[in-house]
Amino acid sequence: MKKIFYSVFLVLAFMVVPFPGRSQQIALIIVTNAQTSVSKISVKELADYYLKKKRSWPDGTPVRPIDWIEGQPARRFFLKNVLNKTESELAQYWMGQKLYTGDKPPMSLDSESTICSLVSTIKGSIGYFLASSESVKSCTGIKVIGEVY
Amino acid sequence: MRNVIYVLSLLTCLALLVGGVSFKVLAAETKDLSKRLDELERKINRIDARDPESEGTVGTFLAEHISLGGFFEHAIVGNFSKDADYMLSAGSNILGINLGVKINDKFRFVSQELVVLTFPFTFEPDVTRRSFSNTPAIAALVAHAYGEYMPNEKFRLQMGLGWVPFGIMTANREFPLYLRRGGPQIASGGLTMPFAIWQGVHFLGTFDTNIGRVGYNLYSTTPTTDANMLGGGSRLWWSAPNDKIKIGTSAQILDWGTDTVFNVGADLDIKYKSFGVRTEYARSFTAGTDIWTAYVQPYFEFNDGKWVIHADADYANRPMQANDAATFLPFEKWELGGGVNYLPWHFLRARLLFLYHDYRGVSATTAGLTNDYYTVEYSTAIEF
Repeated sequence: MKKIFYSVFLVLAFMVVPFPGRSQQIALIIVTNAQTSVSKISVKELADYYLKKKRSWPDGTPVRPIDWIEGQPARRFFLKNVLNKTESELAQYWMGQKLYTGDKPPMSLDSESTICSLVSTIKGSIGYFLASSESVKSCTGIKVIGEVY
Repeated sequence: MRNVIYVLSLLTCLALLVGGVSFKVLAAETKDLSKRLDELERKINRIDARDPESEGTVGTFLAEHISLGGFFEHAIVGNFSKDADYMLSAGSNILGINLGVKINDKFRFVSQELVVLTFPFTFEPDVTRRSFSNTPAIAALVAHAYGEYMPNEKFRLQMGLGWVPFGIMTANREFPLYLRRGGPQIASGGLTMPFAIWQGVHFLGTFDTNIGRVGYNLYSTTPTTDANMLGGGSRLWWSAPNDKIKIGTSAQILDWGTDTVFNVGADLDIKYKSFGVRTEYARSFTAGTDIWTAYVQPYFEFNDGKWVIHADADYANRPMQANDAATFLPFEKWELGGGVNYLPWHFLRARLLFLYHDYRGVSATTAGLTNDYYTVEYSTAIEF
């Protein structure tokens, strides 16, 4: 009886206690064109670039953010954990920006290969992928500058 | 003979098996090929869309990119009062056309033109009762038009004209974004303050700090109250690191005939999850008069922002005001109420509003009749 009790306790403990490895799992990787001068990016800077609050890299090169279309898993994670906005809030934000300043949201695409090829060819471009993405590993001309957990 | 039949049967079975597998493989390959072709077509379409020479797109002779958009807003307004007949009008229509031209990464041109057709809600000339005027007001105006030089975030220079960055509602004076049509009295109440348009130059910028972001605005203007003397204004704001709290202060200094007008304001914008609140205070100091207004607008979003409910408590006090050009009658008024916004798509905002207009002080009655009235209105704003 004691053994059963301990076994159940151990199983429950395994389920409840958070493992550092589990919560720290990388969910997104942030990539830029290989020629970009930066090697690291913070979540705040990332949000500023994607909301066009900042428009150039530290060396003056214009930032060209490339986004996923609405509903993609990578974008859902990005909105929640980087931009801290819902789809609706983001849509309203861009409505305002279009009216105030004529600014448009970043180009949004639905294909890993297209995003890879654009980031690798356009100077100053930045994109993001799910960490589990296989095709990004074979993408050349890009470099990883950040991870979002 | 039996052996031959047996071998033939075996071969037939084998052939069928191989054929089946081949068909499966072929079907999978065809599906994959079809998927790749679809992706290729989408890419070609995207490239076509960016080519200014391609059919069906707008080409520009100067800019890298040009964006064309705008909005249309209309309303059906019903007013009723104890001492006036019921009035219903569909006479409020605004068309805004926005044109943005990105000439290069450092320079752009932005403009908004408004065309307004409305039947103003006003006093009838010979009686004290209010009504919608039978003469429509038709206006076309340039709301903003400026060239902007953007060397970096800390310093930007706009040249032209635009809505003044004074508080929340006047700085963000984009009609389709208002929870309440026209905004609170600071934006729509005919207070003659703050002066709404900057003209000339507008310097602005933002700085990142450890405790959030700080921004500034500094602009010139030519007020309609005295076109012979340049006026100006400024704004300083702070935004928390997560953008959920924003605080600002604004000021303007303008000439008004022989007087100098000094307008000041403070504002607070909080957004926490689905709940938000906006509040502003503005005051105008001139010789012999003291205009001031304040409002608070809490709101709550639900169903992923598709529905927004809001409440409004909005006060304005404008004592008798006169200058060389005009005399403005005094009024003191509360606007109390609330409404619902429905956004089935992000480009469409349908609103239902209920407001009680509560006049106080000397403006409470005219010739013994109350000036108070209720408004029920439906409005729709479409952005494109």
